[in-house]
Amino acid sequence: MPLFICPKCHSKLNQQGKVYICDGCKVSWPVVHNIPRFAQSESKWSVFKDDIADKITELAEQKTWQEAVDTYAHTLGAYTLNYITEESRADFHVILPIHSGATVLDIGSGWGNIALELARWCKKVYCCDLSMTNLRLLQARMRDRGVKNVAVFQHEANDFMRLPFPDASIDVAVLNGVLEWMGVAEIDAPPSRIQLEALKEIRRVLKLGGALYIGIENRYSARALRGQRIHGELPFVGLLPRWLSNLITKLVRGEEHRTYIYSLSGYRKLIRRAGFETIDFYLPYPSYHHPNYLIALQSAWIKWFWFDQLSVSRSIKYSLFKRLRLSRLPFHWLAYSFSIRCVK
Amino acid sequence: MSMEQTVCNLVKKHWNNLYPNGQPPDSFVFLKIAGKTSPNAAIIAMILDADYRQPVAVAKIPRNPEFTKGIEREYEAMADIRNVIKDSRILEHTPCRGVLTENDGINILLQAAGVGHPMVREMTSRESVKALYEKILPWMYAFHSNGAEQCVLEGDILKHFVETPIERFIAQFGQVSPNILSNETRQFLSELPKRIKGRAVRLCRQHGDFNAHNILVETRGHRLKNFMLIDWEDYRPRQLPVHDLNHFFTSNSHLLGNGMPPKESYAKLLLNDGWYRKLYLKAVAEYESYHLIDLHTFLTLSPLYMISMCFCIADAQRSQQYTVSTWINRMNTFIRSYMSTAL
Repeated sequence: MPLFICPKCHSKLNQQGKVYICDGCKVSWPVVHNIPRFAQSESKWSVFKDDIADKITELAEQKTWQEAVDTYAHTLGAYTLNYITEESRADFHVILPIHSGATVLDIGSGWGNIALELARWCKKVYCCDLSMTNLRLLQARMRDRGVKNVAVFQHEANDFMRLPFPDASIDVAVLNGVLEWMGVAEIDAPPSRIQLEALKEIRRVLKLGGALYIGIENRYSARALRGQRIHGELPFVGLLPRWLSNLITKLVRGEEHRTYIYSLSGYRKLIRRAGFETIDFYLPYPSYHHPNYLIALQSAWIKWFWFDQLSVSRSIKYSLFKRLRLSRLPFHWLAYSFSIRCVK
Repeated sequence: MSMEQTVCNLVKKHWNNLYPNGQPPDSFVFLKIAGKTSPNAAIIAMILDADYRQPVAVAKIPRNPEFTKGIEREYEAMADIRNVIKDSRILEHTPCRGVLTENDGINILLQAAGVGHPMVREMTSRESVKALYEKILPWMYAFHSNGAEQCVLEGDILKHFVETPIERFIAQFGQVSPNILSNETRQFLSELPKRIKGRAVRLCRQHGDFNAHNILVETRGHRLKNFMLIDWEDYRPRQLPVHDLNHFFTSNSHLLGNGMPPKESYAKLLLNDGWYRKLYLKAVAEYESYHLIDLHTFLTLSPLYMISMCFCIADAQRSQQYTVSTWINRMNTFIRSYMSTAL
């Protein structure tokens, strides 16, 4: 029996056929394709272009997930294929308090790579996403892999995050590449407030001692300083003060800059404001998408040690870095991304 | 409790298995160091002594808690090497100290930390490659010849090590890849048992994944000071002596290929005349002097190594870095170029 409660008033839900009805506010939440829909609006966010996600989903539901992926492999391309199939993307779980009796919440679960790996280590994984297509595909994937401990639900795209869980009911929550997109919600509030409210809501559902994992880009990364577009924003815009980045983006694109990312200290402030007591930063290398290495930033020497190990390399870049002893500088300030563990 | 904390606690608890007669440090730091790995491989972490800032242990955590075969096999290899090999010159280059421990129903392998960095980073020039090979290959020969078992390729031994793998290979890949597997290769494989029947070889230990990524080296200046062979999850205690030596040269040919596709780098470096091919033939000739196998038999049996790589790759749990077709293509070119002249 799922843990679900009404996301609006936190009252008990009663399932009547294909609908959940709230005992308190009497709102009814439909179950579509066996997926509880705690949302009124629909988001089509996907890693794919055009309507390819719909086609893959239909094929996966009719046949198998693998067959659907194989059929469209040529259209997806190598990077996307790797992104949606590589299970080592969830290796960050080693720093989280996950155990065989734990309940995990994967917010923005996408195609389910992360949920698939986490499901092996815990009792139950709840996956939520804004896109029904993503959730249907994830459901088909779990069905084909024989994974029974993953439940999915859709949450509202254009509202502050409201989770359908009681207080202190989740051991670990995962926000991997999601926090930055929360500001895109069509609400009349600054992105930073939407992000803060989401973090507070996640903290509410976490048990005492439970942890939130955040995988996210660094605002002042070397890539951003080189002018790389982060989250499709205009080059260099993310580096500017928010009022200026908003102004420029509005002038050029007619819309505001909404995908806020922060520096190390920016994240610390935001997470503290949400009420988390302990915040630990890790440097995921090469990025939080593929955390092959996870370097705790608790002491500077760990970073030096790791970099000195890595810099024994054929690469001139690394050897120069080592000769100039640049690893002693706080180069992690320019890291592409961070892995953050926030403990309640 | 996170795996990070659990592993640090386990290292403390099993310290005596890693360092007999030693005192564990007060605190540890966990550093996840695994690169891209296949779904069934382990997540690898280095455990550092927080006071001395040095690695003290390596932990292998299964990526899938229900699939721990690789970790268990590696532990068996460690135990076998520790219990059977008495030669300290061989032992000192293996991570033979360690323990397989269980936490929350999950097997975790702890090993004493190795030294240095992967050898691949030292393979910067032809000279450096030659110098590294000169030091490492004699160790491989000594490791293989230690406790090797003399036998003649006939009866059950021929069936087990030659006929059955070929039959399995043809059954599994003969139909799937009819255009890739050449007629020449098919014919060669069908005649292989007959060709080598009655030849004498010594069955020996094989590491199974002997390549530059799995050799940690410690250097002083550009000179090799120490090295250690890691990742023993494909270890076989009784095997034909054709796998490791071929794998060392073949897999490293890709690393030396400067971004060339695997098939091209293999053909260019190992099959065409050049410094790397000479190095390979010299190594095979030296191998012969250890009385494990003669040159002629070694080359004739080498396609069996490629067959075993096809099985490895085809295993659904493995990453697809090299596809089966790459290995079949390599086998085709090997048989065409080497065997037509050597036999």
